[in-house]
Amino acid sequence: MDNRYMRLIRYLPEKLKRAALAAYAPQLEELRLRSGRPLTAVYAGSEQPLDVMVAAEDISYLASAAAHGSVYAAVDSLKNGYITVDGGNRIGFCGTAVLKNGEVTNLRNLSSANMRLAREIKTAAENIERNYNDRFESTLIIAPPGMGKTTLLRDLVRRISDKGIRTALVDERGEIAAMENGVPGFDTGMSTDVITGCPKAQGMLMMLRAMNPEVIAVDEITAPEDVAAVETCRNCAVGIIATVHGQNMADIEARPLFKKLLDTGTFGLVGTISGKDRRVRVERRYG
Amino acid sequence: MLKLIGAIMMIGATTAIGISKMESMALRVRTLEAFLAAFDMINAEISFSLTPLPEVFYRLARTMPKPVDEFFSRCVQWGGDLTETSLYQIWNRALREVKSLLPEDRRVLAQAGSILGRFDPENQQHSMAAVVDSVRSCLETAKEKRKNESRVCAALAVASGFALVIIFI
Repeated sequence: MDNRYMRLIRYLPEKLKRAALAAYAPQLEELRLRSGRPLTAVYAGSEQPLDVMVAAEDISYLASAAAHGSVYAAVDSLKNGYITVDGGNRIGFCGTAVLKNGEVTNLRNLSSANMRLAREIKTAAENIERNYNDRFESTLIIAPPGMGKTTLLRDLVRRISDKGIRTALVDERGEIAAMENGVPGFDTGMSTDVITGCPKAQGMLMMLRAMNPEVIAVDEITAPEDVAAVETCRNCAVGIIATVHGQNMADIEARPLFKKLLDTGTFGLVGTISGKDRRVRVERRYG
Repeated sequence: MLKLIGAIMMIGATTAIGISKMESMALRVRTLEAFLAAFDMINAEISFSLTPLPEVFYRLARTMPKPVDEFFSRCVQWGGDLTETSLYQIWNRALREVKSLLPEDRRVLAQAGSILGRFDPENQQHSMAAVVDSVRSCLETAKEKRKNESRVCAALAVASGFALVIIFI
């Protein structure tokens, strides 16, 4: 059984843990808890109910366990709806938002949880690397949620880093490198420096100033400040690997925020993940 | 000669009992002071680094003086990384093992076990401030008791020894 799976389900109350153990299969991607409904397991995108009911206190138990009994340590990520646990696994939560001055400061009355099993697939970025022709080019990866952007990003970082390219990884949610006591839980390559828990834009600029990177890698650029930071890196002749939520290239080009990045030649290659087989299609933008 | 030896032993024994009582009062004061120092460190770790409690306890187990280091060692040993056990139960169980504390001290310190790790950083500090105030009160009471009773203990111990000598010898 996958050790990372065991590390994920240990946060569950006993009755749910037993059901989760019995439900394990190599294609298992997520466990989903919804208050008052059966525990479900997601296998290759397909959700199957298991034979155990989830109570509201089970989800509270999960949150407390995932925070290692230290809510204050998790409140910053919990207000964004998730807690990253050891092994790079991520647990998302739903509930009632607690607002202060119009901003979410916490979640209470937790009603759902989504336990995502982190995976390392060392062939995920093969297709993209093949297109580099022995010279790295800034790369944008486009895919809808749950299609493996993070897994692909992780593998791509490893590949270029192992070629000796100094790579700075901005791991905001702690799930790409899964750092534990300063050591990455996933193989991120020999020449990779990781900053964890830092907002993306800030992290990129910090790495740019402090770590003399040749490439900066970042997952899920969404906000104008993220895009601005990417442009700064480009202007400093630092390569970029970034992922973005989207269906395809046309979807990204329709958004003014990203169209500018594409039109200014920031990215030489664009990889799109789509279909049930999660095939990676690579398109050359320039050159 | 034998009587003299007997008298010395009697006085020595009662004096030793008195000294032991004085030492237990002093140990209670040192224990409460060490818990206050530990709470200071916990507050600092929470405020500045948001360090999870298991890690904080591990550090306290290595840096605090006895018997508080043993208290936190037990918390680490019994609680692990606090994924499967409640801090409140572990905390109270470990408190029962700290023999230098009185029941009223344990009642006050138990409050920390019921609030640690339950709130966001700001509210955690506020809650802990109330507990720290209560522990400081306990400490002041303990110091006062030590100051007032130490000399009485010593005097009574020696006097008891002499009394026994007079009675039996």
